[in-house]
Amino acid sequence: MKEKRVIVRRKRGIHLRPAQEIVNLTGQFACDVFLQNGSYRVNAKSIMGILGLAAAEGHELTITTDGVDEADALNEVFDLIESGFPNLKEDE
Amino acid sequence: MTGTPSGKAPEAVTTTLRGIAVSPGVAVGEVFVLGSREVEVEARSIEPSEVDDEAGLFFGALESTRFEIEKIRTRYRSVIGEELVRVFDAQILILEDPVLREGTVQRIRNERQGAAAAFQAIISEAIVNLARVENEYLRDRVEDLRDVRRRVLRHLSGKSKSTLSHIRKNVILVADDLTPSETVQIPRSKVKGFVTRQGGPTSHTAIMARSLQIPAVVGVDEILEKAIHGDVVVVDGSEGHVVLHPDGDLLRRARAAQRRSARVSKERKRLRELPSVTKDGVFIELLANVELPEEIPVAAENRAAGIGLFRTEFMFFRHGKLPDEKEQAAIYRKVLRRMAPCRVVFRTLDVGGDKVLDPMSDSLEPNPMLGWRGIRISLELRDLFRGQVRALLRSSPAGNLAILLPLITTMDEVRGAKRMIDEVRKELLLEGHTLADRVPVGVMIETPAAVHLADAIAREVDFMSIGTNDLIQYGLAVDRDNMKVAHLFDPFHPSILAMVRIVLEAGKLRRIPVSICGEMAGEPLCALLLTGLGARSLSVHPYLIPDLKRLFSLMNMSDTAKLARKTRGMSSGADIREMAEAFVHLLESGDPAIG
Repeated sequence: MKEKRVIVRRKRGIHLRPAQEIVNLTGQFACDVFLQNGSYRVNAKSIMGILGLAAAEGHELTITTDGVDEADALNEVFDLIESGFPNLKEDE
Repeated sequence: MTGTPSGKAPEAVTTTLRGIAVSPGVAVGEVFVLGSREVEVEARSIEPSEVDDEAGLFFGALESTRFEIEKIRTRYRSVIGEELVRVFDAQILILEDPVLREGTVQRIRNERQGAAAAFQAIISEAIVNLARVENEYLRDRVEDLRDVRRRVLRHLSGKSKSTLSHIRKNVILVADDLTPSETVQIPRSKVKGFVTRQGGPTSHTAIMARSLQIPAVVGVDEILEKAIHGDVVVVDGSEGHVVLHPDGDLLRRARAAQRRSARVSKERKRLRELPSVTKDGVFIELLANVELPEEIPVAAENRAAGIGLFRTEFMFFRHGKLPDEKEQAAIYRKVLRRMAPCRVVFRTLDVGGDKVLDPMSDSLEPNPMLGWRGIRISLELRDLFRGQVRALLRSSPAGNLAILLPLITTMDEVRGAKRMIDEVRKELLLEGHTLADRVPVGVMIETPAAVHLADAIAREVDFMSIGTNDLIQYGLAVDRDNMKVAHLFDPFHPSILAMVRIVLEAGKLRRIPVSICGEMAGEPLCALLLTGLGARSLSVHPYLIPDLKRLFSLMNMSDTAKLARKTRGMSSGADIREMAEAFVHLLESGDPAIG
């Protein structure tokens, strides 16, 4: 199991489009991926879960991965959130 | 703010919503929300042996829902734009959500709940969670979850189509949009009015409402949020107003208006028996546009002199594909027999490529109105076209049949299609079928290209039909269903009148009949100008026939022709409209000194 922290860097937080990006990414890995905001922890392969995180700009999230490809998953999810979702426009 | 329940409090405050008036008249009734958002779920516990079946039902419903969403996404892609397409993408991700899938199956297994109840429990939990969130962007997603919940539950309860049978007396149907298959199922005696969130003046819902003579307002943005099952509502299909919780005074006035429209329909019954001639004795042929075989009685009832445009797309809408040759011929024969000896003009299939092929794979044209549709498809998917032509010709002995070809832009298309019709005729005769001696073949003039070829076309076809809806759309570069530009859709635009004039003159020169079909022909002010320009055959929604007969009975063609001539020097559609309005005003007041 691996764990890493990341700060949300999007003005509108992680709403629909970023959540879609995360789900599309985590779905590619075999391991379990979780995101935690405060005490609230969700399955990062679940779009409903991620939306429910209510991750706003500046929130610190904990990424947890557990399984065969946990190292790659951790890095890629971290990069995606840390870089502020480079595939999306600012207002998306 | 936190955790406020998102349900609506039933406040009885009078609220007026505005939309587009598409079918005149006033109606009062109770709201019936079609595809009602909340589907009732039966709470029953299941036997251990049923667990796998219930899980199977659940996954099946997810698949059906996904198919449904993908179809909508595909169909509306060009209309709603990428932004909203992503909303559908999100809904699909929700269907794939592992928490939702595994959670539901676990609940079925562990709690012994039926698929619907288990799914509802899981997704409702997510909805409650999300509704608590303070971020407004996220809270909007609650609607997506609700939408998915409704869709999946509908599939689980197997009620996706049958909600219409629940309708009691005197309801106003409220829906996001009505599909052609839904409008077909509407019980005429019970539905007093329509209100939809989507749609424009020429949307399917609008067309059906007019043909059923039911007051309707479309494009009412907030109707689904504001209207609740069973609320009393007033629909004013002439003004485009929808009033929820009307107060006593308003209700009285609305009921009076409803009675008045009932009287008007009585008056219509009288008018429709009038001959279709002007005061100075010029005969104008009034034909009916028909979209569904069920509308044939409406056409006959209104004394249409024939069917000027029978759209054959309904078969697609209803069956998802073109029925085989035999089935098609049976439908055509029935229509022909019902109208005989009057003429029925069948327009060959005019659909976009997305409806012909697999809707999933090949419908992503960026600009379908300029894409693969109409005759372009027919000339490429030759077997499909051949099948339709065979069915049409085989039904020809049953009545008075003509064939109309849609979306012509080149002479090659005219010749190619005619050649194929000739081949089919020979083939059928060789096979020993009896056919009518002559089946006229005509073309739709609905593109500026066809207008400029009108003379060349007129030499090679038996008749022409001006499709004003598309002609305006292509001529003025306006998508009539796009609210942002719909106001530019102007039938009085001098360019449109000039194009109509060119086609009428070509028909006159080459001695072939020209009919005008499309909304414009049925709009009295336009009908005035069109007949003034020389049109002697109009094909309109059947319910408009009595009004046009009344107009003709008031006017002298000599004056109307003068009016139309005056438009030649004019450059503004608004001015032309104003002039026509003034003219009609004088007619109504019985002023003899027009001209």
